[in-house]
Amino acid sequence: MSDRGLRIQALRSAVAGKEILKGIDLTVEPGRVHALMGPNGSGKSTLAFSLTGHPNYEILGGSATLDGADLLSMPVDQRAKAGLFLSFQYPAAIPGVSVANFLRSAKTAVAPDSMNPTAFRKLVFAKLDVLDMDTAFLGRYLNDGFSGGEKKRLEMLQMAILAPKYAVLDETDSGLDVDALRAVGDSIKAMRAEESGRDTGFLIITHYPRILEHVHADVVHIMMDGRIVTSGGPELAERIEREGYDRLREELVGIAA
Amino acid sequence: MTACLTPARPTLPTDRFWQLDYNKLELPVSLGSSFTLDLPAAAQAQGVIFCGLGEAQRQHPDLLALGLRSSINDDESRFTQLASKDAESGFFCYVPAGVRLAAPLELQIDRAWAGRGVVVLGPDAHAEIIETITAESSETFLCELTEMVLGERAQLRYTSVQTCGPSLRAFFTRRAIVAADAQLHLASAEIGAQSVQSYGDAILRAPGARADISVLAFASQQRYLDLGNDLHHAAPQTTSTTLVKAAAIESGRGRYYGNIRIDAHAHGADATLRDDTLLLSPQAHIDSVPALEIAANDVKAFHGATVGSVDDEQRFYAMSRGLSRAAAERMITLGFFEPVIARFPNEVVREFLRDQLNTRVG
Repeated sequence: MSDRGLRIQALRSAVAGKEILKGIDLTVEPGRVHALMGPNGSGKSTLAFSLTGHPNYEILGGSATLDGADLLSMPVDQRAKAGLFLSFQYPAAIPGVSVANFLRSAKTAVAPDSMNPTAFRKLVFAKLDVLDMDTAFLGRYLNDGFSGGEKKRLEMLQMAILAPKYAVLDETDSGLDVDALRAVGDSIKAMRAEESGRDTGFLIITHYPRILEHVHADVVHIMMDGRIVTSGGPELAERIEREGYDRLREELVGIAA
Repeated sequence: MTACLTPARPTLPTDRFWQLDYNKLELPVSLGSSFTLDLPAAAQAQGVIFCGLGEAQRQHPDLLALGLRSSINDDESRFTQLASKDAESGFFCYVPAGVRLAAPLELQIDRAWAGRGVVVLGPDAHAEIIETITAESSETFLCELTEMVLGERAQLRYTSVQTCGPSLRAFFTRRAIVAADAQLHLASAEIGAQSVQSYGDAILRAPGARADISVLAFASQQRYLDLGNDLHHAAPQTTSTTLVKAAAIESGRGRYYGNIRIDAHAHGADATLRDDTLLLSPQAHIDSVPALEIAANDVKAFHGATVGSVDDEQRFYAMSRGLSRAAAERMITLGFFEPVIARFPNEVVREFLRDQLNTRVG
């Protein structure tokens, strides 16, 4: 099946009339981990929102397919049902809606008749354990008054429960302390170790290479000014760690010149 | 005294809103066929009275006099006039001093009518009344005035749930006089009817008196809501909390008038009033009119109001997890109502409200 994968081709998109993505080509294969790195403002989050279908992001050209299905023509909820998951950098709070209620509604939406209430509860409790979260979490209102770390853990909990085919993590590591970062890493590892997550492809968007100490990336892409400027193996992330983005930028400009 | 008890609400251009010709209004059907009162044998054995107004006048005139016209005069408005026209139309509830009812008293109104309700709790009495109003009649109206009198340290939880048919016009005024250290919880849900006027007032008359008011209201299609609460702190160290959650979809319209009054000698009064409005369509509209009349210095009074629509980021977030647009909006709307639903005293009522809203929203 040659069309398997989250395939992004020549994708261009704009926010408030300003072109941010200027032609992105990237394919995340099933079961592989891609890291997308870049300085602030390079367009990383724009890519995440463009794939997910946020109404403020206008697609100007190019394509994105999920295992062959045209993502860009689908409403937001259909993309989730097709198997796409976005871990939000700043997830919205929905007061009055409990975490348990939200998890159940989401799972029922993406996988109707997938499991009975007892099996669902077992699943939720098991995933809570991996993330070192208390069951009292389930009764709280969604992201309402959550700390930054709690919000990120809840994103990881949803990812583990929804078991998407492709997961885009938008700076899930930013603002996390060491323990929370490890919990996020463990959660991804635990998911990949299971039958349901073995084929999940990950696109981990990050500013810092720190998360990659917890999750091994097969491919690292560097994004600048709305384009992927270079791709490589984990050594590319190590280089960014040592030298920062400016050195790479100078080098690339030098090549272009 | 009467002037002080009657809240000074701005009057609506009533005839236009209610589309009624008052001169042609006939009293609806009589009490007997509109009402179901449920008085458990155990409560009866404790001296609790729960009966029609006519019976109360004949058999318990002295007890009835403790509550009847204690805070609502016959001529306060056109609706009070109508509700007072038939002296026998209404209900009476009396809970003797010290009696604590184990189960709620239930009152069902399933036909259009006009009448008065009177609830009297003796000192230290505890009671819960659950009123369900489900009249389906068309081209007619329902008008209820209920006065409550709570003795010292009494506790009354009064819940009304109105799910009338879409052509009925309904008018409710409920007002309580709360004595020292007594507690009132007045919870009302206005979910049906073509137009609803629903006022819930408390007069905190002695130190330690407390009122908690909870209002859930939902307007759809061409419906109109006129909601009001008047919290009158007439004594020191009195407390009130009011939470109002109103939503409108389609061309639903309405207004909320919330008033906190604190008299000059009511030192240490503590009043909180919050009303939140959710508009689910561009045509929906609800005005919120807050008012504070504070004559004392050392009091706490808070009045907060919000008006909003379903937040784009909330909707996007829910949809990104696979919920359809309609399901996302329904979930967010139910979440909007949940804090007020959680204040309703009875779990059966809370579940009923969640079910009702789930089927009516979106």
